Amino acid sequence: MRVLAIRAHPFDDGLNMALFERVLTGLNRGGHEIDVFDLYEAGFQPVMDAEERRRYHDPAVNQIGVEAHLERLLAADGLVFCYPTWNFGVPAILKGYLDRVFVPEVTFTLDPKKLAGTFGGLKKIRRLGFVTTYGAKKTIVEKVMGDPVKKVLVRGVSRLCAPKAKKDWLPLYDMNNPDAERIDRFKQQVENVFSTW
Amino acid sequence: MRILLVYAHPCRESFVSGLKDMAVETLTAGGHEVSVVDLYDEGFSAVLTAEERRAYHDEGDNLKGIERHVELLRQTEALVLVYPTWWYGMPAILKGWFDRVWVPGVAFKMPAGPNQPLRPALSNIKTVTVITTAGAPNWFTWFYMGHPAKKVLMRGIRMLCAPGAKGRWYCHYSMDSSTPESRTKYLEKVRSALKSL
Repeated sequence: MRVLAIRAHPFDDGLNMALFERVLTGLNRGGHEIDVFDLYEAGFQPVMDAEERRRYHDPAVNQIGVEAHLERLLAADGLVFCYPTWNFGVPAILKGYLDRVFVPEVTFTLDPKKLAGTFGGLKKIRRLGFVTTYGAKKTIVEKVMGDPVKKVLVRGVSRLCAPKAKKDWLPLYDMNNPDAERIDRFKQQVENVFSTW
Repeated sequence: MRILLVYAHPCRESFVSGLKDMAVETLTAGGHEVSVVDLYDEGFSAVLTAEERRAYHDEGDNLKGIERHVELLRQTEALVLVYPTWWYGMPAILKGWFDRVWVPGVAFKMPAGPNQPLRPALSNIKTVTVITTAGAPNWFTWFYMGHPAKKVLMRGIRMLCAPGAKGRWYCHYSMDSSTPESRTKYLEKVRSALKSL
């Protein structure tokens, strides 16, 4: 399988990098071909500009400027996002990747006659992985907040673009009260999950 | 009342740009003191840098480069956000404004001890108003998606930073099938709501 592994954290060390390395270690066990895209390291520009916005709905031109990113996305059989949850959402650099690269008629098609009949454009993608950390506790994220970021990524983006993919959602909660043992267990869990891909 | 209006759309000719102009005009005519932050126009950098992330929890140091935004936020009595909904949330440039400006010591205080809650720090804000547009229909946004955008801003960010603030949410859903009539109706509805802000 070819896996596009996307990372969004400004530090080139620390917990997010450690988790990302576990993702790669797990994937390597399965002998997959890995395409690493570190958004910060690559200096990805996340802000959709006026020209991009004007051509957004026109499939003849809406790939201009993001061709290389789309090529990597369309070549992938598996897709992984590894990021910290900030202000109940993905970091802006990752939000911008969705805004700019996930363009209509390529990554998804909307059928105006039936909403349930949207067509996933990322047909090759069979596996989706999400590795994230939250400052808040699980009860707050799920019961109080309704986990909006999970809904956006899993219900929104995944369903629209790759509806048949099997999803692995791997959250580590309560990072405002970090616990070394709990973090270690999570790292191992991440590695284990991706070694089954 | 002192009002901070934050606007995020790249295109001058857009419907959202028209909403922003209407909001500024209506609020100014109502005798309010309106400060406009046009994130695209000022070329706001959406990406929280490694240096900023390192200083994130150091109250004082974490104000570097965002002083003007923090000053505006601390002085305002009302916050008005005007933006299009992309991928069930804010455009990356606005998400970046929250990531970079709504830092500890400004928007909230970190917990006093282990397992204590975060404490709000923007009690000066009495109302939070969101004016937005979305491609998806209202029923889909609520029943299938669980309205993540509204949860992030109204339940998450408002409750965390300014829990006493009254929330007002205005959205023109189904923008892809909107008509001049539906847009005018929405604009007028928001205009009359802003008159009583």
